[in-house]
Amino acid sequence: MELISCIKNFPKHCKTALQNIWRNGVMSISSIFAVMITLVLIAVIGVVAINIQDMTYNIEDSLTIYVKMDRELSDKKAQEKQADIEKLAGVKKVTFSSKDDELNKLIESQNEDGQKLFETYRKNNPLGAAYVVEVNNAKDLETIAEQIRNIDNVNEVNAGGSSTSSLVSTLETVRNGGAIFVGALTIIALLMIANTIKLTITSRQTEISIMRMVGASNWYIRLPYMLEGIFIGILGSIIPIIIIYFGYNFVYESSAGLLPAMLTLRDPFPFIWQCSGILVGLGSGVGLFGSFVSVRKFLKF
Amino acid sequence: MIKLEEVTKVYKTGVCAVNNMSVDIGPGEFVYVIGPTGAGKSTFIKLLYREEKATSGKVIVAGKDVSKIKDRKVPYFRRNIGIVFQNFRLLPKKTVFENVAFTLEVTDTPRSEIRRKVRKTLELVGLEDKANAFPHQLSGGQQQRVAIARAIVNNPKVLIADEPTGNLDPETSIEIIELLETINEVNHTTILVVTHDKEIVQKYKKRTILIEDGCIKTDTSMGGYLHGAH
Ligand SMILES: Nc1ncnc2c1ncn2[C@@H]1O[C@H](COP(=O)(O)OP(=O)(O)OP(=O)(O)O)[C@@H](O)[C@H]1O
Ligand SMILES: [Mg+2]
Repeated sequence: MELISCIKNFPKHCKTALQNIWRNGVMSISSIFAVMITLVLIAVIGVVAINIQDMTYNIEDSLTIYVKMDRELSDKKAQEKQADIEKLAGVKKVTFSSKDDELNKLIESQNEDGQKLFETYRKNNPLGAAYVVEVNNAKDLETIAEQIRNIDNVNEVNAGGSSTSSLVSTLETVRNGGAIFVGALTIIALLMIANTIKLTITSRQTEISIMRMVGASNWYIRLPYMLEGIFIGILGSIIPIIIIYFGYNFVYESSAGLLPAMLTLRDPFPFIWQCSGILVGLGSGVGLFGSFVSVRKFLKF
Repeated sequence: MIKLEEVTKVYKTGVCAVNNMSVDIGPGEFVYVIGPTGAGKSTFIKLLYREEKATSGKVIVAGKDVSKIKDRKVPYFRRNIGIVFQNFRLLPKKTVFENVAFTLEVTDTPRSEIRRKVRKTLELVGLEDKANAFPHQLSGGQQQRVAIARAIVNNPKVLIADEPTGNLDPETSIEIIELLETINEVNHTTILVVTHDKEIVQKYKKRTILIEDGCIKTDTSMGGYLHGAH
Protein backbone atom coordinates (compact mmCIF):
# COMPACT_ATOMS: atom_id res chain seq x y z
CA MET A 1 0.00 0.00 0.00
CA GLU A 2 2.85 2.32 0.86
CA LEU A 3 4.48 1.47 -2.44
CA ILE A 4 1.37 2.33 -4.45
CA SER A 5 1.15 5.65 -2.65
CA CYS A 6 4.80 6.32 -3.47
CA ILE A 7 4.33 5.61 -7.15
CA LYS A 8 1.15 7.61 -7.35
CA ASN A 9 2.83 10.55 -5.65
CA PHE A 10 6.01 10.31 -7.69
CA PRO A 11 5.46 13.50 -9.71
CA LYS A 12 4.60 15.33 -6.53
CA HIS A 13 7.76 14.03 -4.84
CA CYS A 14 9.81 15.19 -7.82
CA LYS A 15 8.25 18.60 -7.53
CA THR A 16 8.91 18.67 -3.78
CA ALA A 17 12.53 17.66 -4.39
CA LEU A 18 13.09 20.42 -6.93
CA GLN A 19 11.27 22.89 -4.70
CA ASN A 20 13.50 21.88 -1.78
CA ILE A 21 16.60 22.43 -3.87
CA TRP A 22 15.31 25.85 -4.88
CA ARG A 23 14.14 26.94 -1.44
CA ASN A 24 17.25 25.69 0.35
CA GLY A 25 19.26 27.97 -1.93
CA VAL A 26 22.74 28.24 -0.46
CA MET A 27 22.72 24.73 0.99
CA SER A 28 21.80 23.20 -2.36
CA ILE A 29 24.33 25.28 -4.24
CA SER A 30 27.09 24.25 -1.87
CA SER A 31 26.16 20.58 -2.33
CA ILE A 32 26.08 20.98 -6.08
CA PHE A 33 29.50 22.64 -5.98
CA ALA A 34 30.93 19.88 -3.82
CA VAL A 35 29.66 17.31 -6.29
CA MET A 36 30.93 19.38 -9.21
CA ILE A 37 34.44 19.89 -7.91
CA THR A 38 34.91 16.29 -6.88
CA LEU A 39 33.59 15.04 -10.19
CA VAL A 40 35.88 17.37 -12.14
CA LEU A 41 38.77 16.01 -10.12
CA ILE A 42 37.76 12.42 -10.69
CA ALA A 43 37.15 13.06 -14.38
CA VAL A 44 40.45 14.77 -15.11
CA ILE A 45 42.59 12.37 -13.14
CA GLY A 46 40.63 9.39 -14.38
CA VAL A 47 40.97 10.40 -18.03
CA VAL A 48 44.69 11.01 -17.63
CA ALA A 49 45.15 7.69 -15.87
CA ILE A 50 43.21 5.78 -18.51
CA ASN A 51 45.27 7.28 -21.28
CA ILE A 52 48.53 6.61 -19.52
CA GLN A 53 47.36 3.06 -19.02
CA ASP A 54 46.61 2.79 -22.74
CA MET A 55 50.07 4.10 -23.53
CA THR A 56 51.82 1.66 -21.25
CA TYR A 57 49.97 -1.18 -22.92
CA ASN A 58 50.90 0.16 -26.35
CA ILE A 59 54.52 0.35 -25.35
CA GLU A 60 54.46 -3.16 -24.00
CA ASP A 61 52.76 -4.44 -27.12
CA SER A 62 55.61 -3.01 -29.20
CA LEU A 63 58.12 -4.99 -27.19
CA THR A 64 58.98 -8.16 -29.09
CA ILE A 65 61.52 -10.93 -29.07
CA TYR A 66 63.81 -11.06 -32.09
CA VAL A 67 64.92 -14.60 -32.89
CA LYS A 68 67.75 -15.19 -35.40
CA MET A 69 68.03 -18.69 -36.81
CA ASP A 70 71.30 -20.36 -37.87
CA ARG A 71 72.62 -19.01 -41.19
CA GLU A 72 73.08 -22.42 -42.67
CA LEU A 73 69.42 -23.24 -42.18
CA SER A 74 67.33 -22.93 -45.33
CA ASP A 75 64.11 -20.87 -45.23
CA LYS A 76 62.10 -24.02 -45.47
CA LYS A 77 63.87 -25.74 -42.57
CA ALA A 78 63.73 -22.57 -40.49
CA GLN A 79 60.03 -22.23 -41.02
CA GLU A 80 59.50 -25.66 -39.53
CA LYS A 81 60.52 -24.21 -36.17
CA GLN A 82 57.58 -21.80 -36.10
CA ALA A 83 55.33 -24.40 -34.48
CA ASP A 84 57.91 -24.98 -31.72
CA ILE A 85 57.88 -21.32 -30.82
CA GLU A 86 54.14 -20.92 -31.11
CA LYS A 87 53.43 -23.69 -28.66
CA LEU A 88 55.35 -21.94 -25.86
CA ALA A 89 53.07 -20.60 -23.13
CA GLY A 90 52.46 -16.85 -23.29
CA VAL A 91 53.30 -16.42 -26.97
CA LYS A 92 50.78 -14.28 -28.80
CA LYS A 93 52.00 -14.13 -32.36
CA VAL A 94 54.99 -15.38 -34.33
CA THR A 95 55.94 -13.72 -37.59
CA PHE A 96 58.41 -15.41 -39.90
CA SER A 97 60.92 -13.38 -41.78
CA SER A 98 62.85 -15.20 -44.54
CA LYS A 99 66.52 -14.69 -45.40
CA ASP A 100 65.55 -12.32 -48.23
CA ASP A 101 63.20 -10.38 -45.99
CA GLU A 102 66.02 -9.93 -43.52
CA LEU A 103 68.36 -8.67 -46.19
CA ASN A 104 65.74 -6.26 -47.52
CA LYS A 105 65.24 -4.89 -44.02
CA LEU A 106 68.99 -4.42 -43.66
CA ILE A 107 69.30 -2.69 -47.00
CA GLU A 108 66.42 -0.39 -46.27
CA SER A 109 67.97 0.71 -43.03
CA GLN A 110 71.23 1.78 -44.74
CA ASN A 111 72.21 4.96 -46.52
CA GLU A 112 72.90 4.98 -50.24
CA ASP A 113 76.49 3.70 -50.03
CA GLY A 114 75.53 0.96 -47.64
CA GLN A 115 72.61 -0.01 -49.80
CA LYS A 116 74.93 -0.54 -52.75
CA LEU A 117 77.32 -2.52 -50.62
CA PHE A 118 74.72 -4.86 -49.20
CA GLU A 119 73.02 -5.24 -52.58
CA THR A 120 76.05 -7.29 -53.59
CA TYR A 121 75.16 -9.89 -50.99
CA ARG A 122 71.94 -10.70 -52.81
CA LYS A 123 73.39 -13.75 -54.55
CA ASN A 124 75.10 -15.17 -51.51
CA ASN A 125 72.94 -14.13 -48.56
CA PRO A 126 74.90 -14.45 -45.32
CA LEU A 127 71.90 -13.70 -43.11
CA GLY A 128 69.78 -16.30 -41.47
CA ALA A 129 65.99 -16.33 -41.33
CA ALA A 130 64.34 -14.76 -38.29
CA TYR A 131 61.22 -14.64 -36.19
CA VAL A 132 59.52 -11.75 -34.49
CA VAL A 133 57.71 -13.08 -31.43
CA GLU A 134 54.98 -11.09 -29.71
CA VAL A 135 54.01 -12.09 -26.21
CA ASN A 136 50.82 -11.73 -24.22
CA ASN A 137 52.45 -10.24 -21.19
CA ALA A 138 55.59 -8.14 -21.39
CA LYS A 139 56.67 -9.51 -18.03
CA ASP A 140 57.28 -12.89 -19.68
CA LEU A 141 59.67 -11.54 -22.33
CA GLU A 142 62.78 -12.87 -20.61
CA THR A 143 61.46 -16.32 -19.69
CA ILE A 144 60.08 -16.91 -23.16
CA ALA A 145 63.34 -15.72 -24.71
CA GLU A 146 65.17 -18.24 -22.53
CA GLN A 147 62.91 -21.04 -23.71
CA ILE A 148 63.43 -20.07 -27.33
CA ARG A 149 67.20 -20.17 -26.83
CA ASN A 150 66.87 -23.85 -26.01
CA ILE A 151 65.25 -24.65 -29.36
CA ASP A 152 67.61 -26.28 -31.90
CA ASN A 153 69.07 -24.16 -34.69
CA VAL A 154 68.34 -20.90 -32.90
CA ASN A 155 71.37 -18.68 -33.27
CA GLU A 156 70.53 -15.60 -31.30
CA VAL A 157 67.60 -14.36 -29.21
CA ASN A 158 67.15 -10.71 -28.35
CA ALA A 159 64.50 -9.66 -25.83
CA GLY A 160 65.89 -6.18 -25.29
CA GLY A 161 67.96 -7.10 -22.26
CA SER A 162 67.80 -5.48 -18.84
CA SER A 163 66.74 -2.05 -20.10
CA THR A 164 63.56 -3.57 -21.47
CA SER A 165 62.74 -5.50 -18.33
CA SER A 166 63.22 -2.40 -16.19
CA LEU A 167 60.99 -0.48 -18.59
CA VAL A 168 58.35 -3.17 -18.23
CA SER A 169 58.45 -3.05 -14.46
CA THR A 170 58.32 0.76 -14.53
CA LEU A 171 55.25 0.70 -16.74
CA GLU A 172 53.66 -1.79 -14.41
CA THR A 173 54.32 0.43 -11.40
CA VAL A 174 52.85 3.43 -13.23
CA ARG A 175 49.71 1.47 -14.02
CA ASN A 176 49.18 0.04 -10.57
CA GLY A 177 50.02 3.31 -8.87
CA GLY A 178 47.58 5.13 -11.16
CA ALA A 179 44.80 2.67 -10.47
CA ILE A 180 45.29 2.87 -6.71
CA PHE A 181 45.47 6.65 -6.86
CA VAL A 182 42.28 6.99 -8.89
CA GLY A 183 40.51 4.45 -6.71
CA ALA A 184 41.47 6.20 -3.49
CA LEU A 185 40.62 9.60 -4.89
CA THR A 186 37.22 8.38 -6.02
CA ILE A 187 36.42 6.96 -2.60
CA ILE A 188 37.50 10.16 -0.85
CA ALA A 189 35.53 12.28 -3.28
CA LEU A 190 32.42 10.18 -2.90
CA LEU A 191 32.65 10.32 0.87
CA MET A 192 32.94 14.08 0.56
CA ILE A 193 29.77 14.29 -1.49
CA ALA A 194 27.91 11.94 0.83
CA ASN A 195 29.02 14.03 3.78
CA THR A 196 27.86 17.29 2.24
CA ILE A 197 24.48 15.79 1.56
CA LYS A 198 24.37 14.46 5.08
CA LEU A 199 24.98 17.98 6.37
CA THR A 200 22.14 19.43 4.33
CA ILE A 201 19.80 16.75 5.60
CA THR A 202 20.91 16.97 9.20
CA SER A 203 20.10 20.66 9.03
CA ARG A 204 16.57 19.58 8.26
CA GLN A 205 16.14 17.21 11.15
CA THR A 206 13.25 19.31 12.47
CA GLU A 207 11.61 19.16 9.09
CA ILE A 208 11.70 15.39 9.21
CA SER A 209 10.39 15.26 12.77
CA ILE A 210 7.51 17.53 11.73
CA MET A 211 6.65 15.29 8.83
CA ARG A 212 6.60 12.36 11.19
CA MET A 213 4.45 14.29 13.62
CA VAL A 214 1.67 14.73 11.09
CA GLY A 215 1.81 11.08 10.12
CA ALA A 216 3.92 10.92 6.98
CA SER A 217 5.08 7.39 6.31
CA ASN A 218 8.80 6.68 6.17
CA TRP A 219 8.89 6.33 2.41
CA TYR A 220 6.85 9.48 1.96
CA ILE A 221 9.53 11.35 3.88
CA ARG A 222 12.47 9.56 2.34
CA LEU A 223 11.59 9.70 -1.33
CA PRO A 224 11.82 13.48 -1.87
CA TYR A 225 15.19 13.51 -0.11
CA MET A 226 16.45 10.67 -2.28
CA LEU A 227 15.25 12.41 -5.42
CA GLU A 228 16.84 15.60 -4.18
CA GLY A 229 20.12 13.73 -3.83
CA ILE A 230 19.81 12.39 -7.36
CA PHE A 231 18.99 15.81 -8.81
CA ILE A 232 21.89 17.42 -6.98
CA GLY A 233 24.15 14.70 -8.36
CA ILE A 234 22.91 15.27 -11.90
CA LEU A 235 23.13 19.06 -11.62
CA GLY A 236 26.62 18.70 -10.20
CA SER A 237 27.77 16.52 -13.07
CA ILE A 238 26.76 18.92 -15.87
CA ILE A 239 29.80 21.17 -15.66
CA PRO A 240 32.31 18.31 -15.31
CA ILE A 241 30.80 16.75 -18.43
CA ILE A 242 31.10 20.01 -20.36
CA ILE A 243 34.70 20.34 -19.20
CA ILE A 244 35.49 16.79 -20.29
CA TYR A 245 33.74 17.25 -23.61
CA PHE A 246 35.56 20.38 -24.70
CA GLY A 247 38.74 19.78 -22.73
CA TYR A 248 39.35 16.29 -24.03
CA ASN A 249 38.51 17.20 -27.59
CA PHE A 250 40.90 20.13 -27.38
CA VAL A 251 43.74 18.12 -25.90
CA TYR A 252 43.15 15.34 -28.41
CA GLU A 253 43.21 17.69 -31.38
CA SER A 254 46.28 19.56 -30.25
CA SER A 255 48.20 16.41 -29.41
CA ALA A 256 47.38 14.79 -32.76
CA GLY A 257 50.59 15.66 -34.58
CA LEU A 258 52.85 15.83 -31.56
CA LEU A 259 52.79 12.38 -30.06
CA PRO A 260 54.29 9.27 -31.65
CA ALA A 261 51.78 6.65 -32.75
CA MET A 262 52.51 4.53 -29.73
CA LEU A 263 51.46 7.33 -27.39
CA THR A 264 48.26 8.55 -29.04
CA LEU A 265 45.27 9.39 -26.86
CA ARG A 266 42.07 7.42 -26.94
CA ASP A 267 39.60 8.45 -29.61
CA PRO A 268 37.31 11.10 -28.09
CA PHE A 269 34.16 9.21 -29.05
CA PRO A 270 32.62 7.15 -27.57
CA PHE A 271 35.17 7.70 -24.79
CA ILE A 272 33.68 11.07 -23.78
CA TRP A 273 30.17 9.65 -23.63
CA GLN A 274 31.35 6.74 -21.53
CA CYS A 275 33.02 9.16 -19.11
CA SER A 276 29.91 11.34 -19.00
CA GLY A 277 27.77 8.33 -18.21
CA ILE A 278 30.08 7.36 -15.38
CA LEU A 279 30.06 10.91 -14.01
CA VAL A 280 26.25 11.20 -14.01
CA GLY A 281 26.03 7.74 -12.51
CA LEU A 282 28.55 8.53 -9.79
CA GLY A 283 26.95 11.89 -8.99
CA SER A 284 23.37 10.70 -8.80
CA GLY A 285 24.27 7.36 -7.25
CA VAL A 286 26.20 8.97 -4.45
CA GLY A 287 23.48 11.61 -4.04
CA LEU A 288 20.88 8.89 -3.71
CA PHE A 289 22.99 6.80 -1.38
CA GLY A 290 24.05 9.78 0.74
CA SER A 291 20.50 10.97 1.31
CA PHE A 292 19.14 7.49 1.89
CA VAL A 293 21.67 6.82 4.63
CA SER A 294 21.33 10.25 6.23
CA VAL A 295 17.54 10.21 6.32
CA ARG A 296 17.47 6.71 7.71
CA LYS A 297 19.03 7.95 10.90
CA PHE A 298 16.06 10.20 11.60
CA LEU A 299 13.37 7.71 10.74
CA LYS A 300 13.77 5.42 13.71
CA PHE A 301 10.75 5.18 15.96
CA MET B 1 -10.79 7.97 24.01
CA ILE B 2 -7.59 7.96 26.09
CA LYS B 3 -7.00 5.34 28.69
CA LEU B 4 -3.93 4.58 30.79
CA GLU B 5 -3.79 1.48 32.95
CA GLU B 6 -1.01 1.38 35.52
CA VAL B 7 1.47 2.90 33.12
CA THR B 8 5.10 3.32 34.11
CA LYS B 9 7.80 4.92 32.03
CA VAL B 10 11.43 4.57 33.01
CA TYR B 11 13.93 6.27 30.69
CA LYS B 12 17.19 4.58 29.77
CA THR B 13 18.90 6.94 32.19
CA GLY B 14 16.94 5.34 35.03
CA VAL B 15 14.63 8.33 35.54
CA CYS B 16 11.11 7.20 36.33
CA ALA B 17 9.11 9.93 34.59
CA VAL B 18 5.67 8.32 34.81
CA ASN B 19 4.92 6.10 37.75
CA ASN B 20 2.02 3.66 37.76
CA MET B 21 -0.43 6.13 36.27
CA SER B 22 -4.05 5.33 35.47
CA VAL B 23 -6.45 7.76 33.87
CA ASP B 24 -9.50 7.72 31.63
CA ILE B 25 -10.45 10.57 29.29
CA GLY B 26 -13.69 10.30 27.35
CA PRO B 27 -14.46 11.49 23.82
CA GLY B 28 -15.02 15.21 23.42
CA GLU B 29 -13.47 16.08 26.77
CA PHE B 30 -11.30 19.14 27.32
CA VAL B 31 -8.57 18.45 29.86
CA TYR B 32 -5.76 20.53 31.31
CA VAL B 33 -2.62 18.82 32.49
CA ILE B 34 -0.59 20.81 35.00
CA GLY B 35 2.29 20.21 37.35
CA PRO B 36 5.75 21.43 38.31
CA THR B 37 8.63 21.21 35.89
CA GLY B 38 10.07 17.75 35.54
CA ALA B 39 6.86 16.17 36.82
CA GLY B 40 6.45 14.01 33.73
CA LYS B 41 3.78 15.92 31.81
CA SER B 42 5.58 15.83 28.48
CA THR B 43 6.45 12.18 29.00
CA PHE B 44 2.79 11.42 29.68
CA ILE B 45 1.90 13.09 26.38
CA LYS B 46 4.70 11.41 24.44
CA LEU B 47 3.31 8.06 25.54
CA LEU B 48 0.01 8.99 23.91
CA TYR B 49 1.40 9.63 20.42
CA ARG B 50 4.06 6.94 20.74
CA GLU B 51 7.10 9.15 20.76
CA GLU B 52 7.99 7.05 23.79
CA LYS B 53 6.97 3.50 24.65
CA ALA B 54 5.61 2.66 28.08
CA THR B 55 7.90 0.46 30.17
CA SER B 56 4.87 -1.32 31.60
CA GLY B 57 1.11 -0.90 31.62
CA LYS B 58 -1.33 -0.24 28.85
CA VAL B 59 -1.88 2.93 26.83
CA ILE B 60 -5.01 3.06 24.70
CA VAL B 61 -5.63 5.98 22.37
CA ALA B 62 -8.51 6.19 19.89
CA GLY B 63 -9.22 2.52 20.44
CA LYS B 64 -5.67 1.36 19.75
CA ASP B 65 -3.23 -0.24 22.14
CA VAL B 66 -0.36 2.12 21.50
CA SER B 67 2.47 -0.12 22.64
CA LYS B 68 1.32 -2.85 20.25
CA ILE B 69 1.58 -0.67 17.15
CA LYS B 70 4.44 -1.75 14.90
CA ASP B 71 7.10 0.88 14.19
CA ARG B 72 6.14 0.89 10.54
CA LYS B 73 2.50 1.63 11.39
CA VAL B 74 3.23 4.53 13.72
CA PRO B 75 2.77 7.17 10.98
CA TYR B 76 -0.70 5.84 10.23
CA PHE B 77 -1.58 5.88 13.92
CA ARG B 78 -0.39 9.48 14.21
CA ARG B 79 -3.00 10.54 11.69
CA ASN B 80 -5.59 10.10 14.44
CA ILE B 81 -3.84 12.60 16.65
CA GLY B 82 -3.18 16.31 16.22
CA ILE B 83 -0.11 17.59 18.03
CA VAL B 84 0.77 21.17 18.92
CA PHE B 85 4.00 22.29 20.59
CA GLN B 86 5.26 25.34 22.39
CA ASN B 87 7.68 26.11 19.57
CA PHE B 88 5.10 25.78 16.75
CA ARG B 89 7.31 23.51 14.60
CA LEU B 90 6.18 24.79 11.24
CA LEU B 91 8.04 23.92 8.06
CA PRO B 92 9.92 27.19 7.46
CA LYS B 93 10.22 26.75 3.71
CA LYS B 94 6.52 26.14 3.17
CA THR B 95 3.74 28.71 3.10
CA VAL B 96 0.92 28.70 5.63
CA PHE B 97 -1.31 26.96 3.14
CA GLU B 98 1.34 24.33 2.35
CA ASN B 99 2.04 23.75 6.03
CA VAL B 100 -1.60 23.04 6.75
CA ALA B 101 -2.07 21.08 3.53
CA PHE B 102 0.90 18.89 4.38
CA THR B 103 -1.11 16.89 6.91
CA LEU B 104 -3.59 16.03 4.18
CA GLU B 105 -1.04 15.40 1.47
CA VAL B 106 0.64 12.62 3.39
CA THR B 107 -2.71 10.84 3.62
CA ASP B 108 -3.26 11.00 -0.16
CA THR B 109 -6.23 13.34 0.03
CA PRO B 110 -7.43 14.52 -3.41
CA ARG B 111 -6.23 17.97 -4.31
CA SER B 112 -9.64 19.65 -4.52
CA GLU B 113 -10.52 18.34 -1.11
CA ILE B 114 -7.22 19.55 0.30
CA ARG B 115 -7.95 23.05 -0.93
CA ARG B 116 -11.45 23.04 0.52
CA LYS B 117 -10.44 21.64 3.89
CA VAL B 118 -7.43 23.92 4.29
CA ARG B 119 -9.55 26.99 3.47
CA LYS B 120 -12.16 25.97 5.97
CA THR B 121 -9.61 25.31 8.70
CA LEU B 122 -7.72 28.54 8.08
CA GLU B 123 -11.04 30.32 8.40
CA LEU B 124 -11.70 28.57 11.69
CA VAL B 125 -8.36 29.73 13.13
CA GLY B 126 -8.80 33.20 11.61
CA LEU B 127 -5.92 33.18 9.12
CA GLU B 128 -7.69 33.00 5.77
CA ASP B 129 -5.82 36.10 4.57
CA LYS B 130 -2.35 34.69 5.46
CA ALA B 131 -2.49 31.58 3.32
CA ASN B 132 0.48 32.56 1.16
CA ALA B 133 2.69 33.96 3.90
CA PHE B 134 5.74 32.09 5.15
CA PRO B 135 5.99 31.29 8.89
CA HIS B 136 8.74 33.85 9.54
CA GLN B 137 6.39 36.57 8.32
CA LEU B 138 3.88 35.83 11.09
CA SER B 139 3.64 36.73 14.77
CA GLY B 140 4.00 34.02 17.41
CA GLY B 141 0.26 33.83 17.98
CA GLN B 142 -0.38 33.53 14.26
CA GLN B 143 2.24 30.81 13.91
CA GLN B 144 0.61 28.87 16.70
CA ARG B 145 -2.73 29.22 14.90
CA VAL B 146 -1.14 27.71 11.81
CA ALA B 147 0.21 24.86 13.91
CA ILE B 148 -3.25 24.29 15.36
CA ALA B 149 -4.80 24.41 11.90
CA ARG B 150 -2.30 21.82 10.73
CA ALA B 151 -3.10 19.62 13.71
CA ILE B 152 -6.86 19.67 13.22
CA VAL B 153 -7.23 19.86 9.44
CA ASN B 154 -7.70 16.13 9.03
CA ASN B 155 -10.23 16.04 11.84
CA PRO B 156 -8.27 13.97 14.37
CA LYS B 157 -10.06 12.34 17.24
CA VAL B 158 -7.57 13.70 19.73
CA LEU B 159 -5.69 17.00 19.87
CA ILE B 160 -2.70 17.18 22.17
CA ALA B 161 -1.02 20.48 23.01
CA ASP B 162 2.20 20.62 25.05
CA GLU B 163 2.40 24.14 26.51
CA PRO B 164 0.88 25.77 23.42
CA THR B 165 0.99 29.19 25.05
CA GLY B 166 4.47 28.88 26.54
CA ASN B 167 6.01 31.30 24.03
CA LEU B 168 3.12 33.75 23.87
CA ASP B 169 2.12 36.84 25.82
CA PRO B 170 -0.93 36.55 28.13
CA GLU B 171 -3.34 38.18 25.72
CA THR B 172 -2.39 35.97 22.79
CA SER B 173 -2.43 32.97 25.10
CA ILE B 174 -6.04 33.61 25.92
CA GLU B 175 -6.89 33.85 22.24
CA ILE B 176 -5.21 30.51 21.59
CA ILE B 177 -7.01 28.82 24.50
CA GLU B 178 -10.31 30.21 23.28
CA LEU B 179 -9.54 28.87 19.82
CA LEU B 180 -8.92 25.43 21.31
CA GLU B 181 -12.23 25.65 23.15
CA THR B 182 -14.00 26.57 19.94
CA ILE B 183 -12.42 23.54 18.22
CA ASN B 184 -13.54 21.36 21.11
CA GLU B 185 -17.09 22.64 20.73
CA VAL B 186 -17.30 22.74 16.93
CA ASN B 187 -15.48 19.49 16.07
CA HIS B 188 -16.04 17.61 19.34
CA THR B 189 -12.34 16.81 19.37
CA THR B 190 -10.91 15.41 22.57
CA ILE B 191 -8.37 17.99 23.69
CA LEU B 192 -5.46 17.72 26.12
CA VAL B 193 -3.60 20.88 27.02
CA VAL B 194 -0.42 20.86 29.09
CA THR B 195 0.17 24.25 30.62
CA HIS B 196 2.07 26.18 33.25
CA ASP B 197 -0.32 29.07 33.04
CA LYS B 198 -2.26 29.18 36.32
CA GLU B 199 -4.50 32.03 35.20
CA ILE B 200 -5.76 30.09 32.25
CA VAL B 201 -6.58 27.04 34.33
CA GLN B 202 -8.35 29.20 36.90
CA LYS B 203 -10.28 31.15 34.29
CA TYR B 204 -11.50 28.36 32.04
CA LYS B 205 -12.79 25.85 34.46
CA LYS B 206 -12.30 22.45 32.89
CA ARG B 207 -11.19 19.04 34.04
CA THR B 208 -7.66 19.48 35.36
CA ILE B 209 -5.13 16.74 36.01
CA LEU B 210 -2.25 17.63 38.31
CA ILE B 211 0.85 15.52 37.83
CA GLU B 212 3.64 15.44 40.40
CA ASP B 213 6.62 13.11 40.40
CA GLY B 214 5.11 11.02 37.64
CA CYS B 215 1.86 10.41 39.51
CA ILE B 216 -1.58 11.96 39.21
CA LYS B 217 -1.87 13.97 42.37
CA THR B 218 -5.36 15.33 41.76
CA ASP B 219 -7.92 15.03 39.00
CA THR B 220 -10.67 17.62 39.35
CA SER B 221 -13.58 17.57 37.04
CA MET B 222 -14.37 21.23 37.39
CA GLY B 223 -11.01 22.85 37.02
CA GLY B 224 -8.78 25.23 38.85
CA TYR B 225 -5.91 24.45 41.15
CA LEU B 226 -6.72 22.62 44.31
CA HIS B 227 -5.42 24.08 47.52
CA GLY B 228 -1.99 22.82 48.28
CA ALA B 229 -0.83 22.64 44.70
CA HIS B 230 1.34 25.71 44.37
N1 LIG C 1 14.46 11.50 26.63
C1 LIG C 1 14.67 11.46 27.98
N2 LIG C 1 15.64 10.67 28.47
C2 LIG C 1 15.87 10.60 29.80
N3 LIG C 1 15.16 11.28 30.71
C3 LIG C 1 14.18 12.09 30.29
C4 LIG C 1 13.89 12.22 28.89
N4 LIG C 1 12.86 13.10 28.77
C5 LIG C 1 12.54 13.49 30.00
N5 LIG C 1 13.32 12.90 30.94
C6 LIG C 1 13.22 13.06 32.40
O1 LIG C 1 11.95 12.66 32.80
C7 LIG C 1 11.42 13.54 33.77
C8 LIG C 1 10.10 14.11 33.30
O2 LIG C 1 10.34 14.96 32.18
P1 LIG C 1 9.16 15.67 31.39
O3 LIG C 1 9.76 16.30 30.20
O4 LIG C 1 8.09 14.70 31.17
O5 LIG C 1 8.72 16.77 32.44
P2 LIG C 1 7.66 17.94 32.23
O6 LIG C 1 6.63 17.74 33.28
O7 LIG C 1 7.19 18.01 30.85
O8 LIG C 1 8.53 19.21 32.58
P3 LIG C 1 8.38 20.69 31.99
O9 LIG C 1 7.21 21.30 32.67
O10 LIG C 1 9.65 21.34 32.38
O11 LIG C 1 8.20 20.57 30.52
C9 LIG C 1 12.48 14.60 34.02
O12 LIG C 1 13.21 14.23 35.19
C10 LIG C 1 13.36 14.50 32.80
O13 LIG C 1 14.69 14.81 33.14
MG1 LIG D 1 7.36 19.42 29.16
